[in-house]
Amino acid sequence: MILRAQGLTRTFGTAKRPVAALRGVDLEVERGQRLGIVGESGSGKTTLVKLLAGLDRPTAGRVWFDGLDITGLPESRLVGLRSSLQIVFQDPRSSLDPRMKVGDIVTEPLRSRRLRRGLDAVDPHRRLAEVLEAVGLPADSAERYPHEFSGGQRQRIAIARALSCQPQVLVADEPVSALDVSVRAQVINLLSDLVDRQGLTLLFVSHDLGVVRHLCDSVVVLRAGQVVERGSAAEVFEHPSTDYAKALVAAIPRIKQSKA
Amino acid sequence: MTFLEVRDLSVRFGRRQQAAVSGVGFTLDRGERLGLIGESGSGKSVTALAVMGLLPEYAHVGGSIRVRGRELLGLPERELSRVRGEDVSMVFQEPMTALDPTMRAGRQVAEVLRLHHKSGRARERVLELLERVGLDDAERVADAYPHQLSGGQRQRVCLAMALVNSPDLIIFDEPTTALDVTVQARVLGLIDEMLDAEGAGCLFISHDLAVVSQICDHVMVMLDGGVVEAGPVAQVFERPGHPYTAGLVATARLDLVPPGQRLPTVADFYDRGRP
Repeated sequence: MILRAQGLTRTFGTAKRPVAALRGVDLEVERGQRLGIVGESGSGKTTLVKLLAGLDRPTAGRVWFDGLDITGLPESRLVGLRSSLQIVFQDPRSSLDPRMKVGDIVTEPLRSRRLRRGLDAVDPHRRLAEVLEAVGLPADSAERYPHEFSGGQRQRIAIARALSCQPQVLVADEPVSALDVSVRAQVINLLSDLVDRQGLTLLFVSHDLGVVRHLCDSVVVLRAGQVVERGSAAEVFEHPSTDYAKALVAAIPRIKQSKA
Repeated sequence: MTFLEVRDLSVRFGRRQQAAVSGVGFTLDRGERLGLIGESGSGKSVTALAVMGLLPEYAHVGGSIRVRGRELLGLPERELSRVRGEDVSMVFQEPMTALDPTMRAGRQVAEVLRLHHKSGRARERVLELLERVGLDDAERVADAYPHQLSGGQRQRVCLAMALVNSPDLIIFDEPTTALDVTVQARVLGLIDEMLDAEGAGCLFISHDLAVVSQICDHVMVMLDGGVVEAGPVAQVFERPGHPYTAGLVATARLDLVPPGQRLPTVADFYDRGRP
């Protein structure tokens, strides 16, 4: 088991007016699993992912990564986690620094002094070429800036950056929601390919169960900060047991055959 | 009479005068619903903005845009603003940026009403409309600032603004792209209902074919600033005539591909001839 969470709770707001974003979530992720985390906006998907990634501290509950309790650990002791777990965010227009060249963006994790200690000696140039090729970007992309690329290509850059320090877990937070439907397929194919080839564990956050079903083997459905349903992707998709999951399935956009 | 007639529309920007749109033409009768699909950068939004007369001054617009036979190109701003909001209105993609963050939602709807009708009793009409777009607590929404509303509520407010003067044509530019699938489904249902009730037509822009098929009866496919194909939704989606359309249709049919298998991409059908 690579990730485990127990009783994860996160409350925002003030003591007088607390807002519970996450309420007692238990989760277990096996190595190589492709887990989809679905729910509406505000259901706690991103909060959960931030806690699992050690980017935020839970109000209550614990998180283990690869057997190590990472709850409340100081940044200096999260070196292993930082290189082993990488995140691809929703909107590549805001997740890539517009003033940095693509080559610098992709190799930045390798230049981090903390991360470098946790990594085997890697040659940044070689690694850059490797990951650019892996995500299907031409080698000369390294010398260009993010704004010279389309939305889909920018998401490839973000994925290349995530892969540069050879993570074991890839977290993708709504990675295709900001993209055209026609570009969506390319990015999903790429993620699926990379996860297979590099033996990654995938946490895929989405509000679109149709995409999750395609990419993931298992699913947890979040609602108002709680897990309301979990199971294999096929099971939840074909036989949702809660009304909420049923509504999510029904809302998947489909082409209407003929409009009368 | 044809309500909207666009002929040989071309839009160029900047010093290099690159064409963002060229040779686009279509007509829309009252109550007709036309979908406009294509990838980002294909010229969908520029076409819509040209019809609304909302392109920046440095855009060079050529061709003809007629509403009820009256040419809009070259019309002075004062005349144009009478058409805008009264005959034709628009709903934008991102309701957070379309609404003024410093103004209560109800006042924003009332503003649209007041600009066209100088009557005093705006509040009643605003509340009535907010209720009609499915906001149960219309009073509270009217008194709320945009940031106090959810994405779905904000888009409903925008829809109310578009409907307030009973226009004959509403232009939707990716109205549900910024919303969750569940909220999207509800907002689409509402749009369908409202258009029916008002007997209004629409020009509906989206990159998502599934969304267009929920609303429109006709569809036009744009690529690199031109129209590659147009026709009834069923015909275009079931027997696409252009390989690019075939590619778009294939990428939208996630449900036809067994889970885990490679998804088809546009490039499988149509080679753009660039990397």
